[in-house]
Amino acid sequence: MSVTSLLNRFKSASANPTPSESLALSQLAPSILNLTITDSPEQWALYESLLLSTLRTGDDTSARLILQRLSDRFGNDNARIMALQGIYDEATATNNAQLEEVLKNYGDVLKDDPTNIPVAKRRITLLHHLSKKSEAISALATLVDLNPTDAESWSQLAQYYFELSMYSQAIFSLEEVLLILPNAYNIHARLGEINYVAAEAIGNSAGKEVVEKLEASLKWYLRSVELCDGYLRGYYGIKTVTAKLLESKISASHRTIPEEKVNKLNSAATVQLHDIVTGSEKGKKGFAGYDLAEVAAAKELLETTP
Amino acid sequence: MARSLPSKLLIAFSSLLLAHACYSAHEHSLLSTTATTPPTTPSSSSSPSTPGTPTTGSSLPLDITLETLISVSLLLVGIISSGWELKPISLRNYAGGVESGRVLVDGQVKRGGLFGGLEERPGFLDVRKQRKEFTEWMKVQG
Amino acid sequence: MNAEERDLFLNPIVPENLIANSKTISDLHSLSSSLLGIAAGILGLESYTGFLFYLLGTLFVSTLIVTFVMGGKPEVYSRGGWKDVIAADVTGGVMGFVLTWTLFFGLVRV
Repeated sequence: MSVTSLLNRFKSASANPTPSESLALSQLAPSILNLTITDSPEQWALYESLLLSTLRTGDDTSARLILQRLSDRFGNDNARIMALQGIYDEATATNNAQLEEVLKNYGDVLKDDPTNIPVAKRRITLLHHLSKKSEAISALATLVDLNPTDAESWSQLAQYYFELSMYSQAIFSLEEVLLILPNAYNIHARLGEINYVAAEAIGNSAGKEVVEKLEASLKWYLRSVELCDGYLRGYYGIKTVTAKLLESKISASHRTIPEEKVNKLNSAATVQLHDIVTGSEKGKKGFAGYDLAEVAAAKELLETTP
Repeated sequence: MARSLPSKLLIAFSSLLLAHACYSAHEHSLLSTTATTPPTTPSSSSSPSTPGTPTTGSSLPLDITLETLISVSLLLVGIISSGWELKPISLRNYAGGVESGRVLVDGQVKRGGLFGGLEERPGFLDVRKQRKEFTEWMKVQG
Repeated sequence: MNAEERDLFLNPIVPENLIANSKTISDLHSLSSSLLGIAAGILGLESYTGFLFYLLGTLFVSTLIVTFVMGGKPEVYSRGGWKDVIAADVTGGVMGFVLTWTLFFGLVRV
């Protein structure tokens, strides 16, 4: 197999592959390592992806070799190589003391060069992994201060806030992502989800605040399907939120969106979801991209709500 | 660009037809010059001395003209129908196509959509968690 | 914000696809212009008839592109729809056309 086709196999898997996917990718290690090194950017990208796969599956000898070749080529002081070295150290550490050691190393590197973004991200991830959540958040907040145009960091920050149920901070962070990438429809849907969860979290189920949050959620979802035709996640959200809005009868006085419109949106979303579910189940050609778990969830939603 | 078999055949056939038409036209012009040469002197044959006589182009027989036109039309159809791919320009169509798998990115279905990186966040990969998940999965597999 | 900006904001376009599409279309046009030139040379067309042939040929090619490549929906793949498909790379196409036209005119008529 050529480097390009191998790289495409890695690209088609996500950053969070299923264990069986990881295993299949990691088993490609011998054939990739036996290819002659042509020094093409694709080959190094392939090495990087393979390194992560082998670390996931515990093939540390291959990982060591890949890392060795990468650092021979790019040098040990390359920011990206330092981060990869860090990932290797994190993965192969056997106890917490060793992890603390890795953390300390990251700290030393960052003391010398605070602009080493890849290592800064490693440090934050490790802090979070070691359950030092508030430290991770404050480090990440410093990082986005330093580098405010990095959408990935803002998105990660939103995730950390969300885990701590700090919804308004999470929403703020995602809105920052949208300032950088205004067309990121999945972030619109995520905002819809967070607003919905935030509404759920407010105990009193008929208050003004709840309705406001639900309507905000609905608006984010609507924009996500406006930006992306046939977006399963968006329609799923619209159906859930509109059902919720219709259900809480008491809140009618707080609503700004007329009930008739909410009803219409609900039935439109139902139609779209129905199309996607039947198309995907029949294995039609234009539906191969949908995630099967998401389709199953949509099917369940359609069955439980009329 | 993946050429389908019918368009390959069409291209091959119409290229042959076009080559044949080209050859016939060439032969015809050779014949007509040799045929018209005897009455006139060699020096005057090269210049269109006789006004009103049709030029070689317009005197091309109907069958060669038709052959040329048909072969070129078929060749064009063959080339244009051989799997050229365009992508929708509006984000709504393009993103929707990528999500549903109708539109391929780099020749394959792109999981996670166009902005999937924002939610996968490879820079913040928690490798230990994934490693743990993998060992647990291996245990279940036996 | 004028109407066009507002429209672009509400329904954004993907610039990479726009560029890639117009490249593909102009590639197709220059390829087919050369073929049209071959035909014009074999037929021995001269002066205005030749250019008329080119214009008709281009229209034919555009129709083929819209039917086969765009599936009958030009507005999905180019901003100006039909207009853009026909007008893509006219000057480059003429060059290719004239080149093969004169070449085959000369080749066929010794």
